[in-house]
Amino acid sequence: MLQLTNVCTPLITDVSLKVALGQIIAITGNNGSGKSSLAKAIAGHMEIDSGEINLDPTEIGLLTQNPFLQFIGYTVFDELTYSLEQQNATHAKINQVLAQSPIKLTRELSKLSGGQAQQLLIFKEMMSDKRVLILDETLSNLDEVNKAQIIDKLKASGKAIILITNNLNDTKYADASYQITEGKLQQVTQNIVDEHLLDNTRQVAFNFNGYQFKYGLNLVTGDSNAGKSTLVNNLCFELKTNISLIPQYPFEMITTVDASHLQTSRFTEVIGLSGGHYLQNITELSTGELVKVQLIEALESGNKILVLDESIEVLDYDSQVSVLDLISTHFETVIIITHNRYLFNDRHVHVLEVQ
Amino acid sequence: MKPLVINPFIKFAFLISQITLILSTHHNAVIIIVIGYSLIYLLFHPIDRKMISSSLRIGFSLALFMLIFSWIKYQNITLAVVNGLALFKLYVAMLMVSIVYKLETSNKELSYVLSIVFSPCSLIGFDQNKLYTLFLIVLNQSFTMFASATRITKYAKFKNQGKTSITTLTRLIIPFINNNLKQNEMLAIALLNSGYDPQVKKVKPYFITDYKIGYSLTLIAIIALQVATII
Repeated sequence: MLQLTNVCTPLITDVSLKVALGQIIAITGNNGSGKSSLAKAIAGHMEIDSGEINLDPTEIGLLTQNPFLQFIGYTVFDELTYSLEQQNATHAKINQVLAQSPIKLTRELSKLSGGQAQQLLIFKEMMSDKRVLILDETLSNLDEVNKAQIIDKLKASGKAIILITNNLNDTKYADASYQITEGKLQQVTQNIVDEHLLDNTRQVAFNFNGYQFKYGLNLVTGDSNAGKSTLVNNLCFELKTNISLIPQYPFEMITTVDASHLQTSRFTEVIGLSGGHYLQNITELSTGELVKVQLIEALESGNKILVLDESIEVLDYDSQVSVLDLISTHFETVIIITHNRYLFNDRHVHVLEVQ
Repeated sequence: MKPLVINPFIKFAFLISQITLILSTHHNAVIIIVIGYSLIYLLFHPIDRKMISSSLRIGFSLALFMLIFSWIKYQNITLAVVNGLALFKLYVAMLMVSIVYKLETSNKELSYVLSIVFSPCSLIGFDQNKLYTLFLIVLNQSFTMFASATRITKYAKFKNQGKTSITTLTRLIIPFINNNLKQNEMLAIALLNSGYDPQVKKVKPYFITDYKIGYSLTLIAIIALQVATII
């Protein structure tokens, strides 16, 4: 069992929590509320101000949202065998793990889709001897079918799982849900509303690669590795002007060391990037805050089309709702890649299924 | 699947012998044999044509530079052409050897061989496990960084429509620095997740290699043929 007693970090105070082996708990909270800091503190990557954690960091695995930055190997084979070598595993054990790999062993890691990469990292940690796994937004790029299968396997592995998520729909997999509000961790009951999309009967805005994009919200869905990101990226590079793109991993597109240029923007308050966060160094901002920075830049640009490549997932629920309201009115066409369809409940959307 | 650790050393020794023979002899027969077996090898293996053509373009540029440099220095066009061609010939031979080695060897194998080659570094605290991990990360992250740099370049061009080259440069450098700072933090987490322990000095890597004796004999035969033609 993982037990936290009165743990304090710079952002959260007095956290006491018990997670039994085989149990899954979910933690939600606003962007910048301290979810990732708490995860790092539990896994021993950040010092705690006070309190006690009963397990050694070597018994806790931490997976973050961008799996590509956490790969040591070049191929799936390298990645899986490296950690087993370090754990001094026998050849029989290595062969057993390799035989169960969800991805072909010869695949190059840099060529995996975001969902496949997350799937591989979770599999690797699941096969390790660690007793606790912290998934910090690690399920965000997975489609519902894969996600449900992985959750089943995680439950069967007997490890204690901490699921940090902004997708309230994911909390249905957890045995208990917690929310971080104003620096406090509180147990909550999440109400999940069933998906109810309304048809978008608006006019066609343009056609691209055989897909019809309409004015208003366009939802691009499909399995992991179906080519969703390739489709929207090609669209952006083809159209070039009047279009803003917010990619899956925002670090690759942010071109400033801080976001002070956004201080005077009328959107800063609405999107929830106030409180001086924009004056912090970019590398210290959470992924959700980085997406907010890019959203404000996109809103300020006056472009007509907005593309969100699995980036809305990293925003907290309240921000997701307010951002959807805001972009629906400010852009003529919004193209969103997401596996999180329940967010669009009772909204008019045009769904494009990428095969 | 039986693990075998001898092959990585044979392949590395073959690479070193080829580079030594090419650079020390500049012998046409050696170069022809290198290009010959490389072409035969490449016929049966999937290759990245874009990468080869861009590498050849670099070779042409180097040869052209040598040609112009020699012509300026010696004022003799024949000598300049000979020098340019000689450099191009060496470049192509080295390129072929490198491509075949890259296709035939995984980064993991190379990291292991290098960790043994540099084993004297243990005297200054870089023991074999640390070196193996370091080489593995450097080799693999260079590919990840290349993929990331390609995306950053695309994004920079995309975001920079109609702006100056200075802003393009800024749009390239800052995301690259930010991304790498984040990558360092994530790698530290990944190493701890993988169970890397700086106190553990030795590592036994796990390899899968199907061919052994026949492959090794072929490599020895190639070296013997090259040496015979030189003599």
